[in-house]
Amino acid sequence: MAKLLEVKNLKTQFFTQDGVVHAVNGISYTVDKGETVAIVGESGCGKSVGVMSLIRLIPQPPGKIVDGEVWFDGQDLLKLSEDELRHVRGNKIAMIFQDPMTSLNPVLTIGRQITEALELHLGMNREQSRKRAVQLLEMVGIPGAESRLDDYPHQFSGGMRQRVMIAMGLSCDPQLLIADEPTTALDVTIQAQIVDLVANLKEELGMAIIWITHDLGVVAGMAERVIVMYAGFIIEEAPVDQIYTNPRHPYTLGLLRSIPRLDLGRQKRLIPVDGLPPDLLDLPNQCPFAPRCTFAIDRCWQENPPLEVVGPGHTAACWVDISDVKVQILAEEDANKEAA
Amino acid sequence: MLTVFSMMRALPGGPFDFEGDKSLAKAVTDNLERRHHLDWSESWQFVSYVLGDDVAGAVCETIPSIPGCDKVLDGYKAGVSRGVIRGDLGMAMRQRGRTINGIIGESFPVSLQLGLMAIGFGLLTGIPLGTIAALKQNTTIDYAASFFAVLGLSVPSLVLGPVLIWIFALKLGWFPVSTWGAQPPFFLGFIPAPTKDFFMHAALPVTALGLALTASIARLTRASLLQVIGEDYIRTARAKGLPQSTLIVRHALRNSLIPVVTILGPLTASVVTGSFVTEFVFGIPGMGKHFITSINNRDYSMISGVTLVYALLLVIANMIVDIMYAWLDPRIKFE
Repeated sequence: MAKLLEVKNLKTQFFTQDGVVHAVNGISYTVDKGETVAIVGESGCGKSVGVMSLIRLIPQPPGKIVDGEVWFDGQDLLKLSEDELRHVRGNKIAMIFQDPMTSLNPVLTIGRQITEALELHLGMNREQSRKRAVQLLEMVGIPGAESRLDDYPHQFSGGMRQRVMIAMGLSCDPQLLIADEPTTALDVTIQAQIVDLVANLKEELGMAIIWITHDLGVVAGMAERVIVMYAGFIIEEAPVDQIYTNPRHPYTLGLLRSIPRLDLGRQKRLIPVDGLPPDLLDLPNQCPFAPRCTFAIDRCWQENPPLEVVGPGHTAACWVDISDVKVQILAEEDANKEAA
Repeated sequence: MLTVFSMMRALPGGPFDFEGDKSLAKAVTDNLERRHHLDWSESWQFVSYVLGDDVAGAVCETIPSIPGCDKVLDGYKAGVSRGVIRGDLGMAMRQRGRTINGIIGESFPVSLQLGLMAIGFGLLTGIPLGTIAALKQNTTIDYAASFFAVLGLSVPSLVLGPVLIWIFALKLGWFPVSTWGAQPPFFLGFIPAPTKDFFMHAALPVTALGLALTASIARLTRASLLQVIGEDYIRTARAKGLPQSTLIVRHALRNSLIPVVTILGPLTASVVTGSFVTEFVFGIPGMGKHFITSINNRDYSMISGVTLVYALLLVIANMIVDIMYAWLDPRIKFE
């Protein structure tokens, strides 16, 4: 399928008083037209900064995109002027954010907040844009859409606000929707509703989605490809079934082991990934995951492994082949020794 | 009201006590004091001030045994006051034959014009200044604005007024040195005809009074705008592709003005106190002059009257602030 977005060697850093924070360290990936890609990783691994850099939404200063290219629709977004980029933002690339409680302006009606993008990008007049806003609200399942247009955000519940955010994101029929942990701040039942909603809307509208989450459980149902990030690096990328059945990076494996499973009952304990992510102020030339890795070998401490192809459409950055049975047995023995 | 009423009477000296050559004959003083009921006991004076002489008299006619009633019965028919409750603030004690209502009716519109223009000046200059400072954070413009704000806050109008007169009126000759350009009648009781003369006269005193407001409004706007710009919904608005100007005006400014409106209440109070000095410096026939002279003169009815008007003004100002609040922030609703 045709490529919609191609990110090449994107590097974003924050210049703070304490030093340079290496938030995103040269990530490259592509998103095809109509494809759903999930980016997973724990808090602070550069997921959000990575996608916000695509449309230059990170606060500058202190943030700065120091290197890389972002090809979208035949142009490098990082080289566009601010004015040119504004025509892409909210129009061809829309973004929805994590916390619907704070992401809507409290003093403007939701109708106004939806229509302003329509007026700006599609040149609609007030009447047309209000009509379209009602359609959008109905599409995302807000009951009594017409009468709610003049309500303020505080008159909506969290789930409803996230629906409004989605309606806002979809208003100009974007080719790419970036969803930055849209379900994190919501109840589990509402989470499922929002995931279903976005999946259905995608079927209907055919846009591509980048879905950022730290919840691998959410990913399984909707994404076609998964990118795992750690400490600002992409450490594994694979089709979604491969990630679950054949993870090739110890960190991915660790994430999978820490998902609660209903089908295994109480017999199996969750295995958390021990330790903390590295300090992004100071990244030595080693595998960033080595200090927390049960499979780590000497080489991991000397050299950061590059992404290498390990299967069809599957890349991973690890010196060790953890799919090898012998390696797994050795690691388990190590773990047992330590426990004893 | 009761506090002011009894405290001013507790001050030593009365309205008709003079020293040296000016001192009046005892009989004259007694006569004057009787006319203003100052021979009555304090509580009866208060009753007559609030409710009116006739009410006090009627009470004493019915029950003459209440202490102090003999004096009341003696003098109430001379009738000075119909009582605050019926809108009569009484007779001036030191300005012969003039009512407080008349004096305030003449001077209050002028003070109101000065005060409203000063607040308007503060808002119109303070908000843009604070906005610019916030948008150009940590640049020379920002530092210049901050320096100006500190200066405006620290220089009192007592100093600023004469300096402005010296520079703009005496040296440059752009504006008149003093007095007020507006003449009654006023539209709605306080809006003057917008003549050139009026604005020329108003320019310096309004600046002297309003600059401190500009400074505090600018500082608050800057701080509040900086905070709002960091909010999530501003990022959402940017993600929509809105231009910077729309972003600031539509999304950020209204949110950041909420704390600014909050301080407008206390600022009104500072305008009132500031206007005493400013009116004095510029020789403006406003109410501030009466407030100060009446205290020195122990003109009891004048002190009470002016205090009441100022109190009412502050209450109204705070009410307007509350209404503006609800208009700015839809989360606040009056039930």
